[in-house]
Amino acid sequence: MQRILAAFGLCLVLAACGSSRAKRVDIADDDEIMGTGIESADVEAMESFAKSLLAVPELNGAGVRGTPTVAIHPVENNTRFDFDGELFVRRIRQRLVENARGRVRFVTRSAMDEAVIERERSEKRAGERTAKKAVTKTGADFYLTGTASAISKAGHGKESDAIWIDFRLIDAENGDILWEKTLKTKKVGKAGIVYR
Amino acid sequence: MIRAAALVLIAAAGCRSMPLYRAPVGPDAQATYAAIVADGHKRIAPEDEALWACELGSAALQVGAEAEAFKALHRASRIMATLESTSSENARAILGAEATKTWKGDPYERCMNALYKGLLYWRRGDLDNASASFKRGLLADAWSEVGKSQEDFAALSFLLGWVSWLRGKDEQARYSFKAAAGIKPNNPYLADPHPDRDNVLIVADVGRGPKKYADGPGGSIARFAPYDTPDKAIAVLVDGKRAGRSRLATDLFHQAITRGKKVIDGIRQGKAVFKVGTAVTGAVLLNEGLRRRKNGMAATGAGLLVLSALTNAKADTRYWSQLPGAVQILPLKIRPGRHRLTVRALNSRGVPIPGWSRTFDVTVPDGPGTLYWFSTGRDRTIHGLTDPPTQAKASP
Repeated sequence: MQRILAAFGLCLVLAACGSSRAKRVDIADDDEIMGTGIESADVEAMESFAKSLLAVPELNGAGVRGTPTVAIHPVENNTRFDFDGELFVRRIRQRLVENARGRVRFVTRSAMDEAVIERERSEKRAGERTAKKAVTKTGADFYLTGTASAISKAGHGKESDAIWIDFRLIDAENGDILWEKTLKTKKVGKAGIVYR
Repeated sequence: MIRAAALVLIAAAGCRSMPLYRAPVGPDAQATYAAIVADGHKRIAPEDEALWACELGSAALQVGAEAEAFKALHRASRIMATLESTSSENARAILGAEATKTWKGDPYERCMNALYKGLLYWRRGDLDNASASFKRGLLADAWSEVGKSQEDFAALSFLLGWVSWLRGKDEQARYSFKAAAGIKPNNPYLADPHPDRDNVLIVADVGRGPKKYADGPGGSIARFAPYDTPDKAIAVLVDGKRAGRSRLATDLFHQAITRGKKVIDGIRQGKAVFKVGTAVTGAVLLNEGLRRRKNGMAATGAGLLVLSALTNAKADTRYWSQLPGAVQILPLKIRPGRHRLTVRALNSRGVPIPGWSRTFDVTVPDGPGTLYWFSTGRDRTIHGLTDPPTQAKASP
């Protein structure tokens, strides 16, 4: 009994000293500092969409002439978590390029380009843009957009975040949605007793 | 005997190896910034890192070092974002000093971290993340006392409304503006916002934030005291003509005292009772043991006295010392182009305080959503972020 108590006390003292070392973990693994936001595992999971996207007939079907170009936009953030919207773009673009093997061309677009694109699309619809001019600055046949939305709650020492990241492939000419996938995640966190 | 020794060890495990962090804040903003930067080169205890980073962020804002302010506030927010804790952290904070836990701020401090980050994202043109930050702040406020004190941080609701309008999210804008107006119906800017008409939004930090101190038996109760400073608002003159004065959106002292009772408050008060109880019992047993020559009784008494001495019931009094007393807003319609903005600190009667003003040369861009931030500094000058930063947009 005496030894157990002494060992227990010693453990506490050592725990208080807090020796720590960084360790390497898999990028798709959850870590101890979990939180309820978007994790690297969520970003990695999104890469699986690439094959499904490339199977869309408008990109890969028999009737496709030439090399279609897809403009990838940064993920619009409607959550309470600040993140680099272009991180998603980089990850998904890499996987798409890898799987497309030259059959589809990809370009990235900044958020600022969106206004230009919208204006060009309106002009096309209104007939103000001639067929020759139709080769627009964007040069894209399709747009890949992403929107992150969330329902977040907190109270009574707990918080929860349900997050949806919707990806859409949109026809640049008519705005038709050709493909859509959603990454869903819900996390519930509990505040430690010393923070409640 | 053994049990008493074990308890002594447990209590000892909860002692801090370093003193609580206090930012070296003085009247000179540049000197304060330099001193807090220098603190970062020394060893900051891990449990104080977020506090140090928040103080650094505030100091950087005061000297106009916008990129450094963002970096520091972002660093702090990564620690403050989750309130989860490890069992060893819980054990240390409960059995020993509460200040051994990682500082993550009270709800009002987490709200302010989110507010500043939102403003800085906005000024970089990253409206998505500005919106995300304001939302995070509003949720941090939800950790306050249940009831009307939850989500009553009108400045955050208002800013979320404004930035949502800029993003074309009209429904969210309407909802947030309505929420802000409901909290502060007497503020005319909150009651009737016009982001389409008012192309410049001014956010002003005025006065000094609340001071946190320990009170009650063994310092076991955390309390807040307001600072009374003469600066109560700002007035802005555009090219010499009076354009308007700021109005209160959020009072931080009010936010601090409506955080509600925490579980840890009860634990501290329990420790205070335990501390007194073990001291009295220990003294009686030691005295009786010595008088009756009973060594076991005397040793138990001595052990209890040591345990009492080691029991730390004191509340964690670390707080973000450079926060303002209030966040105020002032929307303005200013013709695009170069202008001279004079910002004056006003007293409680709305009269300019002599010598407390500063003039800024600004270039108002075409279009809505220009954001300026001003602060009535401790050095009796006005600090500000006016024309947008020139650095490239950085990732979070």
